[in-house]
Parts: sequence; C-alpha cells; structure tokens
Amino acid sequence: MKTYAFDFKNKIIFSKAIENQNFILKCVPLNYSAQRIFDEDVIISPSCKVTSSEDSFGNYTRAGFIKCPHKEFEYNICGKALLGTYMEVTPLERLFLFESQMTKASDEMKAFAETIKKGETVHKTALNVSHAVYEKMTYEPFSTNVETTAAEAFALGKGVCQDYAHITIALLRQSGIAARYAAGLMEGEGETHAWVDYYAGNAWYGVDPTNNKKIDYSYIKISHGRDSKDCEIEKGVFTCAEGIVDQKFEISVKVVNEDD
Amino acid sequence: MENLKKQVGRVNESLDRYGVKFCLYKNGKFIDQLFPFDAIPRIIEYDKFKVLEKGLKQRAYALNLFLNDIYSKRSIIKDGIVPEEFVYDATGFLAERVGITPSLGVYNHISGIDLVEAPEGWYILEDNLRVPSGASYPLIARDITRKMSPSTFENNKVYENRDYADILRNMMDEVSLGGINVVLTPGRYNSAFFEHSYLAKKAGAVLAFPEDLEVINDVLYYKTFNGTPQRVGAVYRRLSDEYLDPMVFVQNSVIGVPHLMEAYRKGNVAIINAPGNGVADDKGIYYFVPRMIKYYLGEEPILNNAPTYVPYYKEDMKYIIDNLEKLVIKDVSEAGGYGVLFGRDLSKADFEKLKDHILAEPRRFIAQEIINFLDLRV
Repeated sequence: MKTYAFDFKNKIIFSKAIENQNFILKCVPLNYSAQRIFDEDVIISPSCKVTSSEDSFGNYTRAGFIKCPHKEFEYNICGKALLGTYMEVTPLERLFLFESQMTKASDEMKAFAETIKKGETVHKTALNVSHAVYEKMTYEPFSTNVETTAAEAFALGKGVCQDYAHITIALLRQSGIAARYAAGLMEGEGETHAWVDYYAGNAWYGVDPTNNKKIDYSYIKISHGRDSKDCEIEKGVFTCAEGIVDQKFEISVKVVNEDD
Repeated sequence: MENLKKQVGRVNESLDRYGVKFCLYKNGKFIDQLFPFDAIPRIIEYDKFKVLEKGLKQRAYALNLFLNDIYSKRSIIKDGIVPEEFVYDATGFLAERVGITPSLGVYNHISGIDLVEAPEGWYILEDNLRVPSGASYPLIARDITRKMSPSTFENNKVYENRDYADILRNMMDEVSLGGINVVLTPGRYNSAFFEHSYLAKKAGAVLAFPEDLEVINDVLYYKTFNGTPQRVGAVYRRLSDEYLDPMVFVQNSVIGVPHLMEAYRKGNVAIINAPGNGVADDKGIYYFVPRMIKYYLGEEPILNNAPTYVPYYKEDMKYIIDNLEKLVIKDVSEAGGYGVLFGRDLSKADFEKLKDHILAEPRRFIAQEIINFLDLRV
C-alpha cells in the first residue's frame, strides 16, 4: 500500500462572458478494492449548488448550473489516495468485449492485430499489444483531438495517451480480450492521463501503452468506460449573448508519494 | 357505405383545413405534406380484431420484459436464447441507462408495431419502440369521417377509438412521479409537430419546447409564464435518445434538456418511452421476439413474424445463399426503408457482391421471404 497526495485543477477561461452554464464533471477518483480516496475536497467556482451521483459504470459525477454571467470556470479536486496493486476483482461486464463508438477497428488495424504475437497468458498478450502500439505510434501533442477515433489515430500514426489507449483497446477486443478505457492521474506533475484496463481470469488489470508498461502502483483512476466518451472529465453547455466564444484550458496535475 | 364513397373528397379537404400534416426532408428541403387518407376502410371483423389485439398486447408485454431484463440481469443472454452480439453490438443498446429502473418497470409505454395482411394471415413487419409516431392521424381522420358521413357510423357497428387520449392520459398519470404531464416536442419543424400538439391537447398535457424545461436539483420543472417553476412528473418526449440530454449524449444538442437523465436516474421523473428501447426494435433482434414470448411468458406467439433468416446461424446462412433470388435482404443498421434489397432485382454482379458481403458480415443482415400484401379490392 502506498499513499499519494493529489491535486488536480482545471481552469477554463472564456473569451467572452458566458451564462446559463450546465456542467457535469467526472473528476473525483473512484473507490474500489485497490484504491481508497480520503480527505478529498472538490471546489467549483463560481460557486453553485452541486448534486452528486454515479453513472452507469460507477464513476462519480458532480453536476451543476451557473446562471450568472462569468468569464472563468474552475474546478479543483484534491485529496489522498491509498493505492494497492492495480487490480480489481469483479465479474466481467461482457459489454467490454465489443467495439464502441471510438474504438472500431479498421481493416488496417485488424491486419496489424494479426501480426502481434499471442502470449502464453492474457497478461503477456496484453503487454504485447501495448508494446506493439507503443512501437507503432509516435507521441505528438495536439496531433489529434478529443473526437479522433482509434482508426483515425492509427492511420495517422501519431497521437496522445487517449489515442494510444483507444487503439490498444480496439486491438485487445479484436483478440477477444475484454478491455476498457481508464482516465486518471499518474505520479508526477503534468496533465490527466489515460490508460487501458484488460480482463484476465476474474479481474481487471492495467497496462499503459503510452509509457509501455504494466501498471502496478502510482496510477489514480478517476473513471472507466467503453472509451473516452464515457470518461469525459468535463462536459458542459452554456449560452453567450455575444456570439462565438473561445475557450482556453489551464490544467495542472500534481501527484506526490507521501511515503518517500 | 354508399354515402361514405361520396364524401371521400370532402374528408381529405377537411384534413387539409385542420392542418393534418407530416413533413419530409428531401434534398435538404423541408416539405410539408398532407397526410394521404383513404376514407374507405379496410374492414377487420370483430373476432379477428380481438385476436390481433391480444397478439399485439402479448408482443408488447414480452418486449417490455426483454427491456427490463437487458438493462438488469440479462438472463435471456445467459440462458442462450439471444446471442450477446445482438444486444451489445446493437446501436440501440444504451449503456448510459444501465442501473436505472423506470417507473413501474414500464419501458415501451407506446409501441408502434407494423402489421401486414397476407392471404394466409397477418404478419408483424417490425416493432417501433423508440419514439413511434402516428397515433394522432387515425384519431382525427375518424373524427372528420364521422362528421362527413354520420350515417356510416349509425348503420355499422364501428369499433371505438376515441378513448386513445384518455388511455394516454391515464398511462401518464400512472407512471408519473409527482407533478404535471408534458409532451416535449423538439419544435414546430419536426415532422410530427401536428401530432405532438394534438396529443398534448387531447391528453390534457402541457406542450413543452426544450427551452421550457429545466432540471433543478435533479428535479424536472416546467417554466411557467409567471416564473414559478412547476414540477414535471412524466415527460412524453418526442425526440430521440441521442438528443435527450447534452450532459450525457450529444453535447451540442440544442433540443435536449440538460441533466434530464440525472432526474430520471434519481427517480424524479418518468420518461415516455424509456431511453434505450432501441435495443428491442432493432432488425436483428426482431428475429428473436417469438422466442422472447415463449421465454418470458411461456406462451406461443399469437401473431407471427414474417419468415426471417439470420445468417448468424449456419443453417439460415445456407438457406439464404441458396435462395437469395427469392428473398429480401435488410441491413440491420439501416432504418426507414433504407438498406433493403430484393435479390431478384439485382444485376449478376451486384448479386454476387451481396452474397460475399453476407458471408463476410453475417451479423449485419437479415433475410425475409417476400410477402404478398393483401390489397383491398376496389
């Protein structure tokens, strides 16, 4: 068991004042057998009445409405996470064996999946797939966007963690391994991260294709689902009397191991 | 009946005057059309109608049980009656609603089940359980026909349909979770706007546009003119799932109500029909409805499906490939008449192409025998 302190901030700066903002956040890390969250605090500004709930995958949601005009929207989630070995024993939701909106495999991907060596165990196969994606793709910030599908990123040959995760998920499902998208935070400073859960035996395990490694500790999971669409950290709609609005994001993530 | 024949023209003129319309989008243009109506009816005798009624009820009940099952235990999959691919791969399967129990366990409050009559009897062509439209047209058509030709109704025992609005209202009251009933329309340019306003009026519900509704603290409200929000207990929504709530589905939907799904999840509002019904009216799942009736109700289906083959099953695949020229092939991912091919009409090259396509993607197609519709004798 290791304890981590985390602090995740996202500030959205609008070019013009907006109003009637409805939002839903999936920004609070999960609690499950290998992850306990405590001392957590969620601060949303401008302040408003916030309701809490869970979505169909068990992810925590915070929803609210801000009527008054404002030019900035910020949410900050901080707290501590007690992490065991990254693993979740639970019956398989068979939905995760099937393609989803963002993870449909193209013919090129199917052909690529054929070239990946099957391991003696599901773990080894999953690592092989993750490694193959890591080797095949080039990490390049801003080369893709949140709407880019696995097939598009694969054709492009580059992307960010979301794309690496989508492609890995698609290839795993092609080989009959159940896989799900995971969004969260990893040790250090930077941005939010995305990786892949795969199912073996009676439990979910993690693999991080962007960093080419099996996940053991130091990954704090915020949410999981079929693909990135189920794990959008922030979703919102608003009105603006002055026409088109530009949005600028200032994201900061800090995760520190408290045991050191 | 002689009198009715004379009045046919006037009935349609009157429908025009009442604005009984539906719209089509064609080549980017919006075409407002009159609803074509033939006042000379297809007569269904009482005994036959009772059988139809019983059969349709049986089918609707089984489909409702299927939806309850699919969004909870999924025993029909575990028991091997429906293969899981037909559920998880279906575009209508809505993972976002898993874990939400609808008020009174009702999913398909309103079912639009398409029937055709063949010389050998009635067949079910398809089920529409998402946002079926059409209920208003027979109501107003009957109303007008009655005015134009009262003698037809005096001299013949015609089965009553004027209670539809009452049934609709009672249903809404029954599933309501406290508050007023509203009919949510995406707006007056929707193809069925006439129907939305007509049914709202007849069923004593408020006709609401998306901007009239808001969710505050997980409760749905209707914004009244004086500013006091009025709680909504049941919303008969006439827009499809993907536009229902921009917080959960398509984010740039301007016809949805933000946080509606959360109000639904918390059990504060009933949504008619339930989101996620598309998993049960898919062309692929249609094949399994007779099996559902046996599985859930332990009964034999009263009404038959059109003879259908699913290439997913080897023996069906063989039949389809051997008999392609006499079958109609439907793409399960398409709807509304698109993706329908008659084997006999295809050129040699297209015919072979279709064969290869079916062999390559068996899950994507169903095949049906061509049915000889029973036309009315004129």
